[in-house]
Amino acid sequence: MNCDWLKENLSAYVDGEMNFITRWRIKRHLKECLECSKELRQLEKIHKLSKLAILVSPESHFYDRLKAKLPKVETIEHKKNRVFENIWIALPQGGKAAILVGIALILFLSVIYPRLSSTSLNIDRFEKEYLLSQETLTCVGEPATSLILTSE
Amino acid sequence: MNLNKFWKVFLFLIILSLILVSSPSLAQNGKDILRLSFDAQSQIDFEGIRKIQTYTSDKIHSFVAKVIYQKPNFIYVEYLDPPYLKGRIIIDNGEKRIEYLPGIDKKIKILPSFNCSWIKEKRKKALKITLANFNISKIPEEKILGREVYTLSLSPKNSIGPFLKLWIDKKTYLILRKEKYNSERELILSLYYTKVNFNKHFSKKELYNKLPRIPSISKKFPLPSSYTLQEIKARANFFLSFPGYLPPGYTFQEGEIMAKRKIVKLVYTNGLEVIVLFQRPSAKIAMGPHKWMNFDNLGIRFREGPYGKTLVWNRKKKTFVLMGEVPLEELVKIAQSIK
Amino acid sequence: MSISDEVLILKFKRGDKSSFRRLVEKYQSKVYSIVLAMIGDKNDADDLSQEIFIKVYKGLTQFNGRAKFFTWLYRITINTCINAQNTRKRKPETILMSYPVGEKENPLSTQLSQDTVRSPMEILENKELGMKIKLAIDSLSDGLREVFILREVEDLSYKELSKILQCPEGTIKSRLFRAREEMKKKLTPYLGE
Ligand SMILES: [Zn+2]
Repeated sequence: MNCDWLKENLSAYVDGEMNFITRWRIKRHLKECLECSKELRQLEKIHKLSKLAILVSPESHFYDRLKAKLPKVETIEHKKNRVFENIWIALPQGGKAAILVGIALILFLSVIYPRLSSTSLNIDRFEKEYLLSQETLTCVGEPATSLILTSE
Repeated sequence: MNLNKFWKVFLFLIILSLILVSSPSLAQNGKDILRLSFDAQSQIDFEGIRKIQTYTSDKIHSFVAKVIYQKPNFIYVEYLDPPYLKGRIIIDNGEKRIEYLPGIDKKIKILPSFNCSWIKEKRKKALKITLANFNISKIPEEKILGREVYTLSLSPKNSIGPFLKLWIDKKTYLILRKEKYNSERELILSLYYTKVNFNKHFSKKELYNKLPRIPSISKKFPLPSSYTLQEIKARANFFLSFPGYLPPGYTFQEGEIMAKRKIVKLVYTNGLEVIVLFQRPSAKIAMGPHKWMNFDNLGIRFREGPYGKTLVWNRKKKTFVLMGEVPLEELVKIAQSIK
Repeated sequence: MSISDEVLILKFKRGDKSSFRRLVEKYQSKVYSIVLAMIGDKNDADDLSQEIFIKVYKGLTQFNGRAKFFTWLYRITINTCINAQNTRKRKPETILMSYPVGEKENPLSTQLSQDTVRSPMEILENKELGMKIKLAIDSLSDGLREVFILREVEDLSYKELSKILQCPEGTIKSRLFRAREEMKKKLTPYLGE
């Protein structure tokens, strides 16, 4: 086995595409040949790093966005929508108004109101700050830190 | 005559050798051991399963995590239990710290490393205060998980503040076990390993791979605004109040200005623990379940969590939040002393 | 173990549409990674990945199951990318823009743009190297890039690769070899020794 042959086949060796005997012979050569084993390390490094560089997650809600574009086969969803539509149509004007007012009120109370009264704070925030100060004295993750608060 | 001399020399040699044999444990006093344990975890290759239990009057919280240390300064923590923390990963490479909790975090948090210079500096100062505030004594040595350990007992020179028992590995100075007691000598925290493996080396990349490839955010860290007492007085944009009383051993550590300069945070420490006082112009603070106490016209809301007590009250158009792990009477004393 | 692709496809054919969601969730990252590496633009990659899964959705009822699902999926993926490249001009510089360089190494002021998707390794280490690798992949000759990307994303065997790319195994072998030679040339200063 010479170095030139090996260099051309090292890529397939890294990919695990060699039969048992060839693998064994290559291994034996690599043990003795500094040049080739350096080459191997480089290939392995390229392999590992490329994998890390290539693999990423798609933007969030990939499926939800996809679902909106899918041809209309999602039958169950459609039926549900119809049911809701029918109820809405059947409602008297007063009922519709009541529902709209209700939704507006919920929106106001949950989103807008807390922002208007900016002086209303939650104690969690202070407790987290306290734990941060405590944590720096005790070092990493020793108390399970701020997460304890969010859990309760 | 000659024989007598020979016996004297012989006896002397025996005593000398006995001293030499036992000297490894005599060579170091408690303070030195504590100092060495201070940075131990950044200088070892180690994997272990760590369990922490905290005890409050009505609850026991228990946390299990896999911990990997790699020299220098690399830390990996993966929570195994409780279920709501399972999968939480902390990776700290000495420069930055990444925190991620699957299912909750949509992004990866990046924070300053626990081994970055300013936190190290803070811990160093705290160690000095600890050494000044606590009596450190060695108690008979034991073995933990088959390893020789030094056993230290830290007791406060004054009556306040925790008692600590530490079991420190003789070879690496890693703290293998820790118990914390309150001033009534009730156990409030215990930390120990159920499995240890020293000299294990890991591929960091594989550990990173446990994190998903999701966007990262760097969490704003209020650190650049860490001030001395004089600075904080000058910088706050409202009139600050300070406690006239602090439990013995506690000194001012630092001040911070938070929330667009609306909140001032004052931190006091005895080396092992902190007492934090927040103040801001009057605000409503939602607190959840709590108790109500009244002391000389000072109405205080109070609650106790797994890591301390919280007091909230209003006075002179300002709102105060006080937190610490000292006895409740102490916190109330501090609250009353704030003018 | 999770349910196999075959079972999911069977369920889908019988009207259980939720199994399509599971297929998407299983492969979305890999498909997206391949597309992003091929195309280089994040917005385009997102659109194209969605396009690919719509094709899969439409074709799945006809999918006969003689070939493996992922072979079919990746063939659609690669073909869609190649078609897209032919119709739009490639913009290699966008890769550069989506991976900021020279960021201050100050732990206190880590300013990362919120929408930058980066791997954990890049966040902590080898930030520069990660970018160099992306550039090197991006500049691989056509024909080499897809085989290299597929192989790295999904450790596929030469046999599987030959089915996806519809060329002989020998060609796969020599293309991978050439791709790595090109990578090595570009990355030599960073591979260290
Ligand atoms: Zn050779």
